[in-house]
Amino acid sequence: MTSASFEVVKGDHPRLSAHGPWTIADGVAALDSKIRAFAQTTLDKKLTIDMAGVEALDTVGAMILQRTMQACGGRTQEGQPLAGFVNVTDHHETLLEQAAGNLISCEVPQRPNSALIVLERVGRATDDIAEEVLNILSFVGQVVSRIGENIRHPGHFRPTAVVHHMETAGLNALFIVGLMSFLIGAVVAFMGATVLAEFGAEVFAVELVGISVLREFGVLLTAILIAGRSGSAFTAAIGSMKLREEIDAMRAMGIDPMDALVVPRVIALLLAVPCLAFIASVLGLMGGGVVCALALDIPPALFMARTQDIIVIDNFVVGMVKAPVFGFAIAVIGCYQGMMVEASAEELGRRTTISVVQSLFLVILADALFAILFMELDY
Amino acid sequence: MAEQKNVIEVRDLKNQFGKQVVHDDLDLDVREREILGVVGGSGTGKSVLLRSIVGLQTPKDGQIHVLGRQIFPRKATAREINEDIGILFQDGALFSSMTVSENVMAPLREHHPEIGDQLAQEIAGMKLSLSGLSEGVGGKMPSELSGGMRKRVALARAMALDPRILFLDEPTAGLDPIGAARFDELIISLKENLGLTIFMVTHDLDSLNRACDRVAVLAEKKVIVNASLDEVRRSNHPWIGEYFGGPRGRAAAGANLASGAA
Ligand SMILES: Nc1ncnc2c1ncn2[C@@H]1O[C@H](COP(=O)(O)OP(=O)(O)OP(=O)(O)O)[C@@H](O)[C@H]1O
Ligand SMILES: [Mg+2]
Repeated sequence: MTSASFEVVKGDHPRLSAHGPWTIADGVAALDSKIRAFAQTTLDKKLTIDMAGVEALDTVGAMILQRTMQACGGRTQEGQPLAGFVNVTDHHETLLEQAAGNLISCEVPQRPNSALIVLERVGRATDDIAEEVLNILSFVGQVVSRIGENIRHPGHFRPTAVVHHMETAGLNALFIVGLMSFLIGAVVAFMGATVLAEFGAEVFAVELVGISVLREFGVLLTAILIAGRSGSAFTAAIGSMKLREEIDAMRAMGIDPMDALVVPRVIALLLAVPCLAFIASVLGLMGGGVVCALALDIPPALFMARTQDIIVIDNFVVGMVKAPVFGFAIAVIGCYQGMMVEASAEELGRRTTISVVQSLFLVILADALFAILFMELDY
Repeated sequence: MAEQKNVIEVRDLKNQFGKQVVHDDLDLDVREREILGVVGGSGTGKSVLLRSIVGLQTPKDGQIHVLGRQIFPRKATAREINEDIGILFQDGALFSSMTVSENVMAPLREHHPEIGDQLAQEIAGMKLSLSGLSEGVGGKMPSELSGGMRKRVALARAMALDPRILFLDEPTAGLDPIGAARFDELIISLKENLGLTIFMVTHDLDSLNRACDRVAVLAEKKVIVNASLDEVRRSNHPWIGEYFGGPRGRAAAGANLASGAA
């Protein structure tokens, strides 16, 4: 099979003879640099292009020929797109005419060098952080005021949506949250007992499990899982609705997306995270208890008794107080990032990632603040 | 006219979603170098038919051949045919994270990695200009365009490789009448000069009149007629009567006669 080719006669009357199939499928693109170089040497001389040998032509081939013709000699005047071409068949004529009218190169903007990009990104990121903090605070304000509004006018409230989100974000996460918590309880008991055994204080493993699971692990693990599981889902769901103009459609119908999308999710997590945290704590204790019974010779009865005597209710309260705060933070960040999605699918992915990272960060920050608070309060 | 070669052959096609049967024993032939208009009420399965032919949808049963290669039951790989076909999706389906010119260059770069940057940009510019877009849209993102402009970019992308078959799902919906008329001229010239075959789902009666060589009517889960527009008009199926005999159908036909006489 032949491929596209051309030969030139230089001089005062340059002539370019094209041969073979001038189509993109037959390699006309490979000729591009050669023909460009030829055009550079032939600028402003009256070029003639002989089309006799052209077996096939497509839009790309026609464009390359027409471009060369226009660069060399500028013979093509208005209304005479074929000036300079000889031996053109009818089909090729129309293609060349079409190409003459549509020679436009769309410049792709040059990218600055990579060192500059890095610096620019650092600057932008710093600037964005400040702005984002303000935006999130303002979003929190809006959410709280919408919740207040929903309480004053219960007509706006959407119980079905709340229940739906409680099911998907809460109930459906029950198994994985419970399992993780159980395993962590077991690990804490085992590791603790191994160290405590050196002091002959194996039995204090019960306190270790009780305090760590009730105060920290139960609720923290729940929050981390929910942030990864539901925070990201909220962002993705709201973000893709935003991309497909569903949110604009709601606004146009007079439905407030805050009422329809954000408030139900926030309330659902406000309620679901404490429930999950409670179950996680119980299962964490059970995990510890099972390890104590099977591996450490602390019978369940003793485990229960010590837990009841020594582990005061305070630890449980400290743990549970944090749960709604974490739930609120996760839901607000998830919804906020979803509402911020604009323009492209890639942006949706980026926002989903940010949503998980931010809500994890906030959960752990809040946990640290709570720890300081309770320390000051002597709990 | 001599018997022409079929570039698309669909036999006994059956498509089903759950209990809903969309196509049942559907047969369709598309000849080489023709513009076939596919019409049918909303939800009769025009888009599903298009998706089945290009291999994006696995039918329940039947045979589909495109350019002599068997698409279903699957023999040809998607890559084998997708250099030869271009598709304009009903809602554009532009890549939202790429600029307009990158969108048009995407199929070029995929199938012809040897194309240099400069040439690729020139090709993209020409295709955009051919589909009626002015200079300067190349650097924009799809989200910054109007609905009609997105459609044109999608058309430019579908034509990027000078495919042998162009599948168009409602290409003129959302275009202004001037743009729609230019579009008809564009596809007619593509057909005549490049020998393209065009499979066009459309509700645009003017397009059907001016551009289409044959019209396939989808109803009752089948292609009930596939013939020239005049023959289709003469058919006595009630839906066809309503479609072409309604006020819009008559207006379009009248306009065509008038312009033909002038
Ligand atoms: N992925 C899918 N799942 C379930 N049903 C589907 C799916 N895609 C299409 N359908 C059904 O198949 C039928 C045909 O759909 P199709 O999109 O082909 O219609 P159409 O003829 O293109 O209509 P329109 O002119 O409105 O574009 C519809 O009834 C639709 O509900
Ligand atoms: Mg459709």
